[in-house]
Amino acid sequence: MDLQRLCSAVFVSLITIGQLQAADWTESVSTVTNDVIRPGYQALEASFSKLESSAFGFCAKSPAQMSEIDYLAVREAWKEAILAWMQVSWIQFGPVSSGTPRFDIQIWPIRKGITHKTVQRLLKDPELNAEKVYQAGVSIRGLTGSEYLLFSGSGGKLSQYQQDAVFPDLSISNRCLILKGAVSNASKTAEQLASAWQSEDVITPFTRGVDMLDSDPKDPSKVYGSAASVLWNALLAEIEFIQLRKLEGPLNLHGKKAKPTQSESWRSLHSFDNIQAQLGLLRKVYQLGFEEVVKTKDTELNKRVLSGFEGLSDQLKRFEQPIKLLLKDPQGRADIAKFRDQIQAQYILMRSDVTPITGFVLGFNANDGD
Amino acid sequence: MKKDRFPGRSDRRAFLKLLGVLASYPAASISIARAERNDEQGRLLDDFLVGATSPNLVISAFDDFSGQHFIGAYDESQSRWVARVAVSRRYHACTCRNTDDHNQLVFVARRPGNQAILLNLATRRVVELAAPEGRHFFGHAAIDRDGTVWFTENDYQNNRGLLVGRAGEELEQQVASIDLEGIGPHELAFLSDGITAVVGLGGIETHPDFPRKKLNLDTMQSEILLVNTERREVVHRDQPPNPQLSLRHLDRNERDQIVIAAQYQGPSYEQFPLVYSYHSERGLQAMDAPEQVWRSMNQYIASVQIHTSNNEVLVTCPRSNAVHRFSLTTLVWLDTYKLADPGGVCLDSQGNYLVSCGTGKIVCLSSNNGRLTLERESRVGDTRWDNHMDRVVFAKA
Repeated sequence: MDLQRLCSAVFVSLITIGQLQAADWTESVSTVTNDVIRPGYQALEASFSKLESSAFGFCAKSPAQMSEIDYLAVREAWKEAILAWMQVSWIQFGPVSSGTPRFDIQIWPIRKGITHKTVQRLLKDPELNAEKVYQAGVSIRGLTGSEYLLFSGSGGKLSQYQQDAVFPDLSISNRCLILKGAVSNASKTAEQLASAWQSEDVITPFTRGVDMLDSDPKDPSKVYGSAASVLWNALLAEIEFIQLRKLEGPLNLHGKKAKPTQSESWRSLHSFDNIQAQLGLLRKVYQLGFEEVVKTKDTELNKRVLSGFEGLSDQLKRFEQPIKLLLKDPQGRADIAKFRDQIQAQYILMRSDVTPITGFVLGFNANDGD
Repeated sequence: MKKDRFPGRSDRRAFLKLLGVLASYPAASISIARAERNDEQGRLLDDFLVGATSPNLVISAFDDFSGQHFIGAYDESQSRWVARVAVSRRYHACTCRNTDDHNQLVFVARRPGNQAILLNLATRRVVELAAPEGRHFFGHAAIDRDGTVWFTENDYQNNRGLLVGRAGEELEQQVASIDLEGIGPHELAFLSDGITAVVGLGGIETHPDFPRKKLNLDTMQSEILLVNTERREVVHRDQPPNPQLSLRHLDRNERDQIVIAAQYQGPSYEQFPLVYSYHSERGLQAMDAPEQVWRSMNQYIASVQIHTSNNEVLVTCPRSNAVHRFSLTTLVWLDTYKLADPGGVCLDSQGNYLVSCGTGKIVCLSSNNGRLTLERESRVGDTRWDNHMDRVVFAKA
């Protein structure tokens, strides 16, 4: 997560105004909470529990006993965990806004080389322990650190993992200490977030970390209206984030060459899978939370929104290689640039055409100041 | 335009008093000249002058909810519009060119816009200024002691920041261009000598081909500069503790104490102080605040307003929906007031803060009892106030 996303997401003021009162958002907010957010965090908890379990199981064995199957199971568990994270990473309000728990799960984008340097430093520590791993900072926590450990250069082979040139002095035990530290801490955080969303009523999490100054506590419909505006802003912010960070960053549109390692999850070649998962989720949020209101006021516009999501999904399915590999080829780079244009068109459609129908007013200085 | 940017005019208050101006707190003053034209432009500017008697007439760029851009004047005391002028692009800040010879307001387009609008209240003319080919503005300008208006500009073909002086009746003459040897100059102000400009050099490369993109975040280097505009040279430069702390917005008081606000362009998990006191001899001094205050700002500050009488400064933080107040005596954070999407800030005629918001609100906050408290608020419909707001006083000539 980076500044751009933070600023355009939840802390952004997204303020409800007069016409917002025209729609009752109670059901929308409740449905998205119960059908998307709460199950999303539960799935995150479950997937991290599985990742933790598989990593600890793998690391419990001596190097000689480690099996290819166990190793691949950890990698698969990592992939499940990142997909689960994609279902909730767009949520920047509620329990996740207290402190920086999301950094326990993933830091991205991240300064180039920082994870590598941190791991290298730890590997040289003869007295490495779990506390030292945690204190080493966010660059090696959660999905960020574990992706590096599981996917850097090993080519999916256990033998390479064990002898990887990236870790010339590495003992398996030290490497496992870092891996276990990364995933167990993330697992605890995922559990806490899931628990917090389950233990509170629907509306309370929306009031945390978000200034809903224009909502009136004595008027529940206004509170839900403000919560709906928070949801809408988060939805738009994530689409823009995909465009700006997940695509434009690696595309490096103004430069001669693309920057493949600026794509998310480039080590695991999971960038497109992440985007596909997110766009599917964002479409679901739209359908559950906003489609009814939009459809009632402008059927054609609603069709265009759904068609836009459909087109994005179809295009993603047509990419036969991961972003990292496609970007090495000029045609591949051009194809991804076109996809980026599609995302931008969807963002503009939803921001400029749909937002007025919802009655929400997006933050102005917060979103696009100077 | 910042309130007290009329160096060499230490007798400005007396001047205003002499003219029968009611306002007692610093504001840009503009004299009303007798109407000489009655065409459309003249009528437009007459609208501006309708607010002549208001002690709290504020000017700002803004958008309506449909996204149409405007510049305008609003009478905060009476909660009414004085003028709303639709414009073709988004403007950023306004500078008041008030000299013996000129009564003008200059709105400057934000990056990467290459236009400025000069409202000549004396002749009732509206003049569009354009940056030369290959250059764009950064939304800010300031006036020196001779009435020359200095713009921060980007020579994007050569990727260098410039400080460009324009003079003449309607700024038709470029009289100087100073290479700042850095990228992305933003807000500027003149010190009390009237010739030394303090410039926040944001360090961020921009290009009109990529309108709002920041092109060099990995290699950027922000600085604060002191520029002697007579000698046409940078006489002092200091760097923030991190090159990605983009020094953008600033204000200065009568003692030439400068407060500069940063926007951090690095990873969100890294925290740096965002408000600095600056003096050329002491360098940059970070203000002190609890970590959660810095974190809450989400690495972004929109505007800075020094309150000379109270020896304090207010910064607006739209990404955290709050304004924060710091002491200029101790350089310590004092308090926070939650406010949705705040951007511009200036002082009203009583010395209260006026804060404009993207929601359309203008909120009046007092700090006289030791903490920020709400005095009053106006809600302006169909309006999103932009990044900066200033108060002007119209003095009858």
